[in-house]
Amino acid sequence: MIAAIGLILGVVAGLIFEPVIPLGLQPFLPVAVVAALDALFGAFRAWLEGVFSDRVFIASFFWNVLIACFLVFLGVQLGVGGAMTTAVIVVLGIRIFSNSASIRRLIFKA
Amino acid sequence: MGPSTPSRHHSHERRGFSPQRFINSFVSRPRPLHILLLAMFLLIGLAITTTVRTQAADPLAGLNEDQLVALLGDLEQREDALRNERSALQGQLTELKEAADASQAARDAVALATSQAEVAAGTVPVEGPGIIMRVSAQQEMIPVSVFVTTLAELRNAGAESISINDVRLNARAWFGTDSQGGIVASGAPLSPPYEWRAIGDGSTLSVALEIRGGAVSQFKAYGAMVTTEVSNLLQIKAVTEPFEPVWAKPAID
Repeated sequence: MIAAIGLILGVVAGLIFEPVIPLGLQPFLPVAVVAALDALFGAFRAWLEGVFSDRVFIASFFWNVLIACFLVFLGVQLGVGGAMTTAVIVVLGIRIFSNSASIRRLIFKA
Repeated sequence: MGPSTPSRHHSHERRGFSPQRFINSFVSRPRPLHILLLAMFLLIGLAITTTVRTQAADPLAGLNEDQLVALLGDLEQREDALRNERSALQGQLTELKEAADASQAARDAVALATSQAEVAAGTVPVEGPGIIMRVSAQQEMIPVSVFVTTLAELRNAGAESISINDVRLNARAWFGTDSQGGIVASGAPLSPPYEWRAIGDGSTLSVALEIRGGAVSQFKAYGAMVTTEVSNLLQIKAVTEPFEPVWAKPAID
């Protein structure tokens, strides 16, 4: 419930205040969003498996976002910005897919 | 979120998806950690909304340098192509305008030449300043040579269009007599009173006619009554049939 309320509030706030992303942060936000989604799927899977822990979720959430942003930053510094962003997105996408497959199995038993 | 307290006592509900477990987690007792969770989800919602909105507002923002360069090159190519097309079309437009001007000039020249020829040939009614000379006389009194002299004097004085009693006198006009001795102008019998109409400079024409030994005095010499009237706007409605040359053709240089 907390999650649903938080998400809705966040979306509404984003629509109302229309925050502008600083130019320096623009490459990071999409990656951070995907990393957060990955953490969310992981948490839901853990909850379904009965091994969910608040601390693990919070830690993994921030850690994922931080590492993703750091990798993108590193890519920009190394001059392979676009490629590194793609790599991070691909890896996170694979994780989201495998997590969602586990979730599907746990919910539908198939 | 998280395993709710009641479900911990029921081991069969601690795993997997069941509506009961879902509801239990929804109504779980709030803990301080939930504030952090709320803040995190708020952040995610905000980030998703902002990213999607930025992307929708400016699709170029998500492209990297290579893609932007490629896009720019593509746009420049298209701009060049459009510029070339534009200049080609403008060239065509100029050509067409010139052609239209040339054909308009040719039409104007033809129209001018036609109207000059029509006036000269006497095939159209004309109007303008000129002179009217009325001669009242007995039919037999005046010889045809006086008419010829009058016509020649009017022409010499610069008359551009001449008529006598509704007979237009053009360059091919002639005077003669019929079997009864009546005057014939270009084949049409004339009877007094004679009304000459000549379009041209009225004062020049009147001087030419009234000169000593001129047309007026010749008519008067044969006992006719002559009046002249200079008019600023005179109409000659008489016309002749257009003449089709049979023998003469324009010479080609």
